[in-house]
Amino acid sequence: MSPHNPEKAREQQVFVTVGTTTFDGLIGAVLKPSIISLLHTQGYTSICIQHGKSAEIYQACRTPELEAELLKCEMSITAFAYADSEEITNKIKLAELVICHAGSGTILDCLRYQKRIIAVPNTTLMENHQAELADEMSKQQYVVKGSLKSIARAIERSATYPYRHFPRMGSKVFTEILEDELDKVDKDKMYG
Amino acid sequence: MSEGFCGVYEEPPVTAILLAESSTMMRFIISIVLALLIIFIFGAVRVLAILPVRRPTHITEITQSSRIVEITTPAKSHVLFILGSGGHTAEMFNMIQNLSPETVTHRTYVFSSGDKHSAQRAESFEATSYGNLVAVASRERKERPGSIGYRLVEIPRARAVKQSLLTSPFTCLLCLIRCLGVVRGEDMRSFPKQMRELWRGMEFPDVVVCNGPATAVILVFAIYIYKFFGMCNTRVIYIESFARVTTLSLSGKLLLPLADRFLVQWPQLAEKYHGAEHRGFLVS
Repeated sequence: MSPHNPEKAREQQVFVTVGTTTFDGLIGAVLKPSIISLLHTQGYTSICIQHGKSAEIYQACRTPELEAELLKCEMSITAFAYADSEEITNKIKLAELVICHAGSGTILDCLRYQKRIIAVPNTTLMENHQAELADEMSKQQYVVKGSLKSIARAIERSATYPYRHFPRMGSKVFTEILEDELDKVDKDKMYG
Repeated sequence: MSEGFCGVYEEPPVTAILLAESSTMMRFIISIVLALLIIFIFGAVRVLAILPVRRPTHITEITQSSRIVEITTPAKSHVLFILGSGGHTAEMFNMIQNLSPETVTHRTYVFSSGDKHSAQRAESFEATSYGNLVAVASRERKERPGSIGYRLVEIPRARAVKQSLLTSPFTCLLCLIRCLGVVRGEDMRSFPKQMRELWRGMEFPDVVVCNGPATAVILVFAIYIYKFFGMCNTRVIYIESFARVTTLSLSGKLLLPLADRFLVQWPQLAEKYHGAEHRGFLVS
């Protein structure tokens, strides 16, 4: 293949998102020279980070070693704190790989655009069921479940992982149920 | 009268009078207790009568055939959607994205006070999904389902995020009072005249759809108060969040006996909780 092949020339973006929660650990785990070089070997050319409240962690992670690795790999990096849901959806659409917290909203967004997902449960949150959701979703092969310690392994797995498509019937099933209930109400009205 | 009653005891008159007094007291207390008991029994029977009876899922074939009736019934229907905070609201609009305005002609969205995000989502959903219909209706000057518009109401929060337990009964009561008004369609008085005409007779919702927030529990409770007095026969659909895999949320646990349809999105929950129904994922 020639280097001017459009497929190759296209930007291959990794999107890292923590949603509206605070998830310092994920930012720290991704922004490591070893992870950057791994992403580079897998063909990714840019990385976009939505860090929420972890702006300081993000700055602290950009050490000289990381900068050197980014330069060496010609990997471009962008970051922002928050964006509205449309903007986040756009970022997901643009990305090839999404590394995210295991929030249901973010996971569903990624599934809709059939992206490679690495869901990392945020275990620091109380009263949260991210771990359960990530477990179950990975059991059903919709996502790759990652942990802060094994991000590298999760990225390696995601490259060849046989991701399943999430069913798109949900809304139809719900509409049927609602119609059924409306029918019952109508019958109640007619026959008392 | 007291003599006749106490005569059998054949005791000195002073004691007889005392006894007579205490026995009228006793009779009064007993009659009060009996009255309360009767009210309680009637109340309990009424509550049992209005509580939903959920049949196993496999009977759906029978309910399917009821669709034939649909053609002859008036096509008006009023559904009330309760919007929670961020994640719940997103899931709600995800689920109802395919709903046609012909199926649900009158739509009410309820959001908690201060939750501007949910209100905006409702407005943009109406504008993008049904907005065209409104435009067409006004151009042709015909009564189309879309011209009915939609209703967006704000309800004070049952409990703020960091509110103390001491004041929460008070805020819950405020919330309940507002919910009672909303279910009855009190706020419809402020509708523009034409819209008010179109909503006449549609005050009570036919179906309530909710998926989580604490406000939902209060609103469903308000509906049950009206049901108790036979003023409405609203049906309640509860959908547990996609994020709940192995345990129900607090709202879910409270609404499990009250909802006519209790839908969970993971089979584990349907096995664990009696009455929960699993029809696969409802989000997509």
